[in-house]
Amino acid sequence: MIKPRNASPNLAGQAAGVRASSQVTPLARLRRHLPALAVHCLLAGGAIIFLLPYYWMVLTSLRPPDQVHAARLDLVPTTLSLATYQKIFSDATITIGRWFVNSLIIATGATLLNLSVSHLAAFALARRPPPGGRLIFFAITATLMVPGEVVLIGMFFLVNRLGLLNSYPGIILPLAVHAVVFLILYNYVKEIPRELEEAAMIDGASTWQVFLGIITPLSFPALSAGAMLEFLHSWQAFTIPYLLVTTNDMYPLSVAILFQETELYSTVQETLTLATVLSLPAVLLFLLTQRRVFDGITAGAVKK
Amino acid sequence: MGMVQRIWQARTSYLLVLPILLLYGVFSLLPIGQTFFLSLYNAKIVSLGEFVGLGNYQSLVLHSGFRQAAANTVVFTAICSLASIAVSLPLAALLHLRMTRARPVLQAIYFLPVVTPGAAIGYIWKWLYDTKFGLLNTALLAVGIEGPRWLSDPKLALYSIAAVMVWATTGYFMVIFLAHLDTLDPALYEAAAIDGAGTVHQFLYITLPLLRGAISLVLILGIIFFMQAFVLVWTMTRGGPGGSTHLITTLSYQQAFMTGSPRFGLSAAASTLLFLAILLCTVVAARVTRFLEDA
Repeated sequence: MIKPRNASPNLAGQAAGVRASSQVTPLARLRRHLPALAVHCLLAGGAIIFLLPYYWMVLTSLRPPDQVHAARLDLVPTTLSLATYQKIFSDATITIGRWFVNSLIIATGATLLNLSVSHLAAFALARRPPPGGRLIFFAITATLMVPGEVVLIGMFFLVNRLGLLNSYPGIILPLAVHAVVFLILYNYVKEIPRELEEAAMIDGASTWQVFLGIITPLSFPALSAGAMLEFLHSWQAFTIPYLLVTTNDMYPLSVAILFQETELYSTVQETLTLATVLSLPAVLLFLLTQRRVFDGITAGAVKK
Repeated sequence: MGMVQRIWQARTSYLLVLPILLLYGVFSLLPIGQTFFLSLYNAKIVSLGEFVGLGNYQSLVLHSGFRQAAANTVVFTAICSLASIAVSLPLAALLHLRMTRARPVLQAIYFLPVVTPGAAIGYIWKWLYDTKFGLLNTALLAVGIEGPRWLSDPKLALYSIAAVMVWATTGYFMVIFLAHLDTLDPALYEAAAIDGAGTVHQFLYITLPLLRGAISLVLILGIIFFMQAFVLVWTMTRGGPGGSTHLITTLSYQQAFMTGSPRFGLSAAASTLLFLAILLCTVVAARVTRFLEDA
């Protein structure tokens, strides 16, 4: 197998390598490195396809407004402008601050709620399985297979009947149903060594004391992985808030952007500037906590 | 110890699972039941209307817009499922070859669309696809090709949206494949390499068979996910032009909330059919892949 050290994709590296090993002909060396070179080209090409749309979004948001509607290929622009950012942050009809705070409240609320109920259940089912525990476990994880976004009409009637349309709880409660978080916590709590818990029980600790004093602090990695996934899930949620919110002041940013485009006929540039503001927190949060996010995703998807 | 006694002893456990059962029960099960219930009535926003039995379902089957949306949903789901596996699996295999030290960076880059809100993705691509000013057609024009009308050509629009869908989900499936690849024993590959098997042969004869479980998982996740697609269509075309990109989800939303005389019952019937179709596809996909795995 080719070692990573020898697999430098850039030509300078290749050239230096060729010079260093005089006994191998350059052609033979190129042949040996050709697969690695091809792999790197493919992977880098892929990376460009994934990055370019983001770059183009940010670039469009930063152009002087009169230069947006033009067929241009300039990947490195000569003039940039913050005019559109100034406009969306100062225009009275674009209550971006309010929408941003709504998104924060909704995502934080759903995260705390789902994390709490899931952790309690994970503890009970992994450490104190009651009769019928397997059935309960199955019922909870079966919600993962339920195409929730499909039964929107029923959700609308339900939330309407509960009097929760246009309210934070009305959006938070449906968004907190996301059993991936439970699965992560269950798999993790099950693996926590029993010795600590048993010692505490001998000392007379109650179930609650074990849960709060021992299991919860030890579950930190799983709790944070679950928190990241649930936060991102609720931050990008579209269908549920779009359905259950009808007033401008309650929209989260993920929905307001659509309202803004269709009702107020904002320009492409304003829409893409809002899209940038909407994407940035999620992308940053992901980049800062990648390991946890990937751990969380694979925890639910890989048979151990 | 009697059953009653065991249940009583476990009362704390039941108390601890009660919150999640209440929350998930109310907000996952009830909407399904409610949707099915509404599908049997000529329901309006304020009133339930009269009981019409399966009348809504009959109207749907006769409704050409619904038939087109159903066909679109099938095509869209099939394309997205196959294409996203065809892209994400080789991508994961390439990253797994250990030829590059950039794997963590590349993995994060490919994953970005998964954490990006769908509305943002829709608008980014709507702009890239723009017939006159979009980056795609501008680039094509620079090499002398007049680009197509990606989102306004009724023959092309659904495929354009499917391409964005694949772009947006590839990273997620790739991470699942990578996690499975990482559990495979490197000794298998070393043995194969000693026997003279090249990278491509190793992929075909070792990696693919061992990943059958992961492929079926991704296929099932994909079917559930793609059949529910909504936001990309809604932001890019709203089902147009001429209903050519309407999926069952977007059509039933439009029927319920965007028309002067909302027909909740009809829309609920469409949702119920889609719901059952998704369950059926999931079960069939699971059975078929299990059958193939045993074979």
